[in-house]
Amino acid sequence: MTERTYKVDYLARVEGEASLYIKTKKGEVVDLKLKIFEPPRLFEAFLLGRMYYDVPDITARICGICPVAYQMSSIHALEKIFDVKIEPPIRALRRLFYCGEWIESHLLHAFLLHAPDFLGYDDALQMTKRHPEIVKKALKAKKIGNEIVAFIGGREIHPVSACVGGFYRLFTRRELETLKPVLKEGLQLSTELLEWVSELNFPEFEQDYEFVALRHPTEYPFNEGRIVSNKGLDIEVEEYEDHFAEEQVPYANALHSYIIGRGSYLVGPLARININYDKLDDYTREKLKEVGFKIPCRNPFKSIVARLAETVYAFGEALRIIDDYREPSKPRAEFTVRAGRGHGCTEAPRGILYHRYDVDSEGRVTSAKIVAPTSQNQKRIEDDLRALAPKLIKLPKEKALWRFEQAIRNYDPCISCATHFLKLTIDEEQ
Amino acid sequence: MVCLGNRLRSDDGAGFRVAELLGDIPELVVARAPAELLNQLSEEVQLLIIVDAVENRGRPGTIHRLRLPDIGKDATRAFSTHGISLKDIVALLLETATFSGEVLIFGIEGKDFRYGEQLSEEVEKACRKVANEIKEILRMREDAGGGI
Repeated sequence: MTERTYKVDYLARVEGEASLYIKTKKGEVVDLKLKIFEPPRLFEAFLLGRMYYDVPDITARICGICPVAYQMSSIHALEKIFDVKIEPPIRALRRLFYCGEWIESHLLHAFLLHAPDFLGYDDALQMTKRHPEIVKKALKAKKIGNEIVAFIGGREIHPVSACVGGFYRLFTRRELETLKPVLKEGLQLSTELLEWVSELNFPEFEQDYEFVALRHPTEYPFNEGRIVSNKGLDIEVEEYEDHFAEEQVPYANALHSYIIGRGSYLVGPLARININYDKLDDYTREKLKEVGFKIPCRNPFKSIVARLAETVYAFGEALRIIDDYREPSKPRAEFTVRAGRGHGCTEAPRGILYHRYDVDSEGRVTSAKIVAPTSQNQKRIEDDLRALAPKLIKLPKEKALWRFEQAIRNYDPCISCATHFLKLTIDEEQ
Repeated sequence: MVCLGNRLRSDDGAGFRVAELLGDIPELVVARAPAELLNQLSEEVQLLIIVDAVENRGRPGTIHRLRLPDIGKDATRAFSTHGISLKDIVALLLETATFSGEVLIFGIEGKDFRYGEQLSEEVEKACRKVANEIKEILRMREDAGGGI
């Protein structure tokens, strides 16, 4: 038997508990750590030895909120290896699939996790008591996002229809047309919700971020584009590992990503909208203008506005895709399996999601690397907290804790579960 | 009518089994986690019946018939996209829907929650009992003109 060596990096996509440790000395912050202690989930190792066609379904299991992103990044990477040519309608369906995911993910985060922070409520339940109509609108619109995912993907969580080359079945124009009434309703609801979040009270705080997002010549990015930053980065997806690296920090099971030679960077809706504002549709841009949102926007607390703007865009884009849809000649492209290396990067709701695979001549995975958006934002989250800390530690402890948590939630991290019961320790040395 | 559970965790599949036994009834939702109920927002629900496995150190197969206030007051602690509790979800639905507020929860005490697709004998028996009881409730409501 041929000897093989498999080297696997940990995938530390965190969703568990986090704690924040801050040490001050004479009123100065001397130590700050966002500690993520959820065990590594080892998905990259699960993929080794599996056939290429298992990859989208296995990676979809990484996240219940953004499984489409995992499917899309893996499929794009594998299609590059096999040099698969995709028909335009398949490409459009993938964008529609992604619209559904952004809608459900963004609204869930914005209204059940993030908005209560701005209004002084402990949780969404308290907020619902005072603003039932807003939460009701958000849940109604979110449901439409789930319906799109279920429609294209076969089910709303961990969908099963996407595959290398396309989809397992053909979608007719008539079928897609049935989505239009709810999408129109969603567009209206999300516009109203955008107006509502724009009136929240945003703390004054700006940072000189390096925003990183995909950029496509003609579209607001979902699946394709170059990796671009506002500080001069402009690379092909294949060059990702020449410019980005990950490091292990002793106090966290989440790897910290950084731009080689520069440091932390920000991915997600705020980065996307800053880099791709000109690619939004006229309607979304007009609405943003009406609510007074301007780029560059360097206030992370306003990420909730970017999230809602993308939701409005996603509803509009879904309608445009359906209007322009022409049925593909077949549900998936044919291709020949061959050995090679492929890279994929798509825009998950929380930011760019990078996948890289090596497969052998049978299509069996021999190496896998996945860099989740939350990993990419970890370092940046700590930098934000460090920048906020001098001001916040002067506040009463409860208030400081509140603001620190809110700052973490600006990123919609997959540690959302944990950040609601973040333990804050402040050591004060005189 | 909501049946909750995980078919791959032995007795946690009780909700799925009850759904199978109920067969083709209208408005039946089978979900793997309470968060999925967020998408079941409805203006017209008059009665919400939930079936789920429970682990309460009781005798396997015991059927707990619960009302909303019975499921603990501290359930909101883990409010997040990954861990919204059943109580939180129902409370949220009650706040957002024009809902009569009648919620009936059947909790079936499980014996084994390890990986597996087989229900224990006690839980299988309890599932049959719960399914029959629900059918009876629905029949009575229909006879009374309340619809289901």
